[in-house]
Amino acid sequence: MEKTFRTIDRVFEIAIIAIFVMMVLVGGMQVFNRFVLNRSLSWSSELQRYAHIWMVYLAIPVAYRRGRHIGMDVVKQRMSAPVQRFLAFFNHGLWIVLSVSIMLFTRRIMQVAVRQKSPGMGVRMDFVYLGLVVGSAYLLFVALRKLGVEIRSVVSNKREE
Amino acid sequence: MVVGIFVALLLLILIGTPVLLAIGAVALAGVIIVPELVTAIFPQKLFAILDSFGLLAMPFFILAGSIMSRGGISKRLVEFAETAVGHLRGGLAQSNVVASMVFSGVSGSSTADTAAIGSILIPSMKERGYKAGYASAITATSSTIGPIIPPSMVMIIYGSMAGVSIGGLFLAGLIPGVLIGIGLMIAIYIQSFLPKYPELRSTQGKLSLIRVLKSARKVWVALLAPVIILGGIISGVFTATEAGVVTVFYALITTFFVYRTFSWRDMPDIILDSAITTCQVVGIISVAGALGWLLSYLNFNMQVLQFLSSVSTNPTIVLVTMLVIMLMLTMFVESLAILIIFVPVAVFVTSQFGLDPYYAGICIVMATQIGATTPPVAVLLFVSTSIAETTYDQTVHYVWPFLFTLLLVLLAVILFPPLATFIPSTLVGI
Repeated sequence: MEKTFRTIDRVFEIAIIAIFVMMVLVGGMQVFNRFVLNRSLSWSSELQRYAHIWMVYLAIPVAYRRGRHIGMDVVKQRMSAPVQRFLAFFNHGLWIVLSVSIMLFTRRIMQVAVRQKSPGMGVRMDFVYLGLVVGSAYLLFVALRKLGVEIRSVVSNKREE
Repeated sequence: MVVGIFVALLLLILIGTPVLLAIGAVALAGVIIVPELVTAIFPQKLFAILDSFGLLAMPFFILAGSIMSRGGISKRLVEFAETAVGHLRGGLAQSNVVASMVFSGVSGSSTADTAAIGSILIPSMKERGYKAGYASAITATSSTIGPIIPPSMVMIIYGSMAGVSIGGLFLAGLIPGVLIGIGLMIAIYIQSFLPKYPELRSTQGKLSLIRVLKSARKVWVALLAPVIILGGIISGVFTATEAGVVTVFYALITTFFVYRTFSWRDMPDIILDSAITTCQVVGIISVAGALGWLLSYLNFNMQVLQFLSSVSTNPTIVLVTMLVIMLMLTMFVESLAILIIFVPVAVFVTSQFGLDPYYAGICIVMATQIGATTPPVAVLLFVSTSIAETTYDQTVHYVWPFLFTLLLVLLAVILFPPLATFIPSTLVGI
């Protein structure tokens, strides 16, 4: 099971890298086309913008998994161990609520967005919003795993006592 | 309702909930609680604020900065700074300031600056008799120059959220950034005459132009980067975002072909790491988009405007009042979060009072940077304290004269707006 989890993590990380590389290449093409070939691209800025949104929403769960999100732990560190444990549970729970809400509410936009096309590339707008749903699904997956780890450590602590 | 939102937000951030999650959860709760709002508005606002070409400058400059840092540029920059100002009184502390100024032309983040310069200079400062707390304090305060001298992550945030030209903001930051550097160097120089700082009195070697030029040759890559970025923006050749792309290619070419310090195999890690750094900030902007919309829907912006109008009708006094409030908040809460939450209302208020958007923007950016070094909650001091392996109290003990200097520069910019507006208005006519 751990192995499957790691594979899924790796797939998301590779997707993020691929999107970022594409953004840089398209950005480079845009500059090259305008100043060397003197011809502007109609789709490049839109593609970069949408790719950026996808990348950010896929990277949010990765940052969470690696404990990289910006936060203040000055006050938390001064609290007792049980309180800290409670706060960890609380935060994982909050991530679950946020991810599920984004998924559900974005689905509603997507039902309308099916009929909209983006102005530059003519891509269906629900594909663009899909980034929020995919990212949030992975966010939920990461949060559930973190919650699982937390519960297991509580149980094993109890047993030791 | 508005009061409830802010109480919940502060409480969540204080108990250690990540800023992104705290803002997201509060905005989500608000959208669900207000009966006339449809829930789909929440993801729509998360999306809308990120759908900006200006914001794309963020990942590009983060990637470029991280390629150059991994290429070992920070070590060379410190060497360059030492040959240039090491002969002055308090030479290593002066070098710290100069290194931060030059490094800020490559990186746009004060945290990155603190970590990069601090990890090299703090150990050698301690070796030469500087107190760890002093080394840590000057490292943190000098790195606030990072987001003032372009490129700047904070200005990309401000520009894209406020709808102000990011290139113009970059230009506006030049003079204030250099002023902070000069101010800190003067402060160190004055300290070297005080009995409390005997270690600052020793000087090292003589200034040799040949040595400076030789070491400049090793760092021309970093010295040239801001010239390319600003030159491109001033001449109208490219936007800030395109400047970001160009800087990425520039960083790639120079680190691979000039410095040859790392291989292509390092690239996936650097890219992933930059993407994570991007999402740390842009993720917060996204949820703040939803919260900002909710707050303005609940008439918060009008309430702030009414409150500030009751304080004074003089635009400068209104700006100062706003900055004081922001500074006080950043003393207790992550300064980046405060900036992102308050940009929409600050833009609304400053435009109502007819303040120049570049002038107001630079003042707000400077205030939040000072907030990031003002105890008790000061991210930059946390980072530098841990690098210096000292206690937080020691760092705080030495930080006050430097903080006072930063405040003086901010005051100068507030009182003499041309310090911020002169370059953008003369060079690009904005």
